[in-house]
Amino acid sequence: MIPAPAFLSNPERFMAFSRWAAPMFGMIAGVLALAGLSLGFAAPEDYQQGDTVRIMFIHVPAAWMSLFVYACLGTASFLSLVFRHALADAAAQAAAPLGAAFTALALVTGSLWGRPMWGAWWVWDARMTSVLVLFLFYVAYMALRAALDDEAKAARAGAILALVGVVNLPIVKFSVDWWNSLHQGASVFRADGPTVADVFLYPLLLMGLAYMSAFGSLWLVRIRGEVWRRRAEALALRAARA
Amino acid sequence: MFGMLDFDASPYGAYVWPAFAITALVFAGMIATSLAHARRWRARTEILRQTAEAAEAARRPAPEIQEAPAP
Repeated sequence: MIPAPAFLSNPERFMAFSRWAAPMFGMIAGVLALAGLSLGFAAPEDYQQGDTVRIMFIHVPAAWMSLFVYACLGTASFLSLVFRHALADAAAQAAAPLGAAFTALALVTGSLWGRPMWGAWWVWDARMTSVLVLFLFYVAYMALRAALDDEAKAARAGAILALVGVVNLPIVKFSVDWWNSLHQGASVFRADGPTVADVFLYPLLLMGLAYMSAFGSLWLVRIRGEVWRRRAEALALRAARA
Repeated sequence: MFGMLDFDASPYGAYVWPAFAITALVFAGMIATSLAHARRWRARTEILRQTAEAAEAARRPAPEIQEAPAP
């Protein structure tokens, strides 16, 4: 049996942990974002992209987060499906709207960068199409959860859909290698090291960490909300039976 | 390594600033909805818990009053 993290197996311990961890991650995100944006706006214009390079500091971390949050959603769904753990299901449910928001941000900011650089708001390129499919998986997951009244059935159906969507993650990541693409290939997470100049790399990494911390904070807050919602529904059910 | 902050995005300001504005709006939305969701259900849980405790107390039989033993 795969040991679940201690805080995932005990809601009381999770609530105690998240009570201080959520604001702490939020503050870290604020500090990192301030530092990242300061360095980003102090960096010189790119010789090809001009000032549009600054869109990269908000677009690329959003794209990273769209994949990372879906990986969290998939992991939580797996734990929920296999171990029937309510907190894992709450974590999956809480991750979906945040992941959808990050994916939408990646698509919109990418489009705002693409128009001046490529001359098009959108192209049916492998990377962009696979990210759009990722967004649709998030939306479908939330719609499926909302459509089913039975919490257990909704959890099971949502988890299966989320796990099917995990197949799309390597497609998004390697789409630029597998197919001819207008989108540039990986330039930070490469086996031979980043190819981005330090003046752009440092603010990009700081913004990536800021987005990650912000997600950590908001995810914890949303899971807490889910725990309270389920407690409230259990109390309402008990009151109705009494 | 870095000079002064450069907020002049011309001639791409029409693309750069909307990208930042939309990002700020989406983050504000994520923060607001997450906090509102958590606060709403926390308050609802507290109300239901208090109601359940009050109902439980009402159902509990009142303790019998025992007469003090004669001196």
